[in-house]
Amino acid sequence: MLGGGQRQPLGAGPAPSGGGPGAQLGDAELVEAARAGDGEAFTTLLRRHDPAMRRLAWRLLGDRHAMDDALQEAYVKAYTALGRFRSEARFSSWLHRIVHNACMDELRRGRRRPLAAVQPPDVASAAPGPERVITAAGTLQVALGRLPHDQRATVVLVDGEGYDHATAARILGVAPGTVASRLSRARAALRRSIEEVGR
Amino acid sequence: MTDRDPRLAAALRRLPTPEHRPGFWDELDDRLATTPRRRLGSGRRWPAIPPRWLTAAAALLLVTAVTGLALAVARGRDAPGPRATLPPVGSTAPVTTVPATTVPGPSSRVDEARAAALGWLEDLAAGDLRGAWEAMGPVARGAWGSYEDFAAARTSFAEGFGTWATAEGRQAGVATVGAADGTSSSYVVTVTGVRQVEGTTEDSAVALVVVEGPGGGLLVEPFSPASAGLRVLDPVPAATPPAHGRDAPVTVDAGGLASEVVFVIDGDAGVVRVRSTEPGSPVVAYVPPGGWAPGRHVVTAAIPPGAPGAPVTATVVFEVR
Repeated sequence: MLGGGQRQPLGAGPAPSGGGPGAQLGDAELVEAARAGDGEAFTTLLRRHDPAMRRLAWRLLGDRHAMDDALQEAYVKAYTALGRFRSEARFSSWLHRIVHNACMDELRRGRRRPLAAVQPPDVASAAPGPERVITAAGTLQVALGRLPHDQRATVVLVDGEGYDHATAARILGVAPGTVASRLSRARAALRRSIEEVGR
Repeated sequence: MTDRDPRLAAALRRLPTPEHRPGFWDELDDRLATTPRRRLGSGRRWPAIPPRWLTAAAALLLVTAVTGLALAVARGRDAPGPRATLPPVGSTAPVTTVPATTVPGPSSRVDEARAAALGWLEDLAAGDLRGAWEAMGPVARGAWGSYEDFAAARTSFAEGFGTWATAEGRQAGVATVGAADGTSSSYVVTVTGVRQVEGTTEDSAVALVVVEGPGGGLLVEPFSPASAGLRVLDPVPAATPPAHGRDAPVTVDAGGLASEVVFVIDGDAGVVRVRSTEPGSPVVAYVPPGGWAPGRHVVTAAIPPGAPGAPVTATVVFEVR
């Protein structure tokens, strides 16, 4: 039951995907509950969207500690700014914008290592087949690391998270046409880089 | 509508992402405990925000006041001067061709529109988010919701729109396009140039709609919640202008926002209004009579104020050899 009662702190939460009370509710209902004062609804929202936020932060920063630092900042900002969130917007794109900005701030502080230098986690799920070349042995990870971070963010948001150009543009603070051009350039660079790395 | 590369999307999905460091959530919980709001998980309730109906009523009053002022200004102009006269809407072929017409607006107003758009870009470059916010029209402000949310994207703006402030060879063409409802003028300012983006060069363009604000001022409308609804299909926008056929149309997907699209040719060389003649098709295309002249072209597709979700623009730079 949302809206009161005994609740767990964030660290004691259940599944990362946001299980537990309120997990069956949609984002809009959880946002409404959180804005009305239900902290557990906010917890559920964060845990539900955390995998996507980690993907963006990891791809941009390439360093686990930098990723966690940026996400700490972003989640605190989201917590304090939730009252200004407009319910007609998508919570995920709103949170992505906050996370992207936090990652940019992290990059400016220069606390990251180059993505290509990071040892990728174990790629146990690499599938055989046509995609094998770009999924095997962290090849894509290395290729992504060679992209400028604006292109990297664009390809992660559009190809990775499925955002349309306009939403990605709002997250990134650029015009939709800029998203299209960055995407085109990023994909071309990825193809080249994957061919080089895969040889 | 997405433009997702399915192969890359599949590969990105398989790419592993590390879990948080141990204690991440406890650390966050501790940090939230010291924020102005109460600790999550404490069982206490946060202070509730004002009732939604009160916020909605305030917004409605503001919109009513702004609309009323804008209409009053528009009606007060009984001698509108050299307003843009758009050519007739094409209606005979799936790829509609309409002669381009040069449509200069009143020169001082055109200059003001150019200054408004460039000033907004320079505000973002300089980090003057308050100035940029005040220069924006109601649609753009509504898209962000609040100044605080807009200002939170400061870093992104500096690396995005802000880079136009120092673009090499920057030019800004202005076309007067009117509004779809015919009540007021609006302008499309197309800015072109070569930008330095993270050490690489990007030869591209951006178009900003400038509208008449209450009191006679001009406001920039760079954001619309519906901007997903308009994009250039051919030629595909790229950092280096793509080659385009002399007789090949510029094709856009209007995404159901409007049945006709205004094309601004080369910034200020001409404006045409084109309608798709395929029933139900969102695709609208334009090629000038006799084809494109050799050289570099900039075409902006726009759905001007008055249509649902408008104003929205999409721009492409291309080379015709």
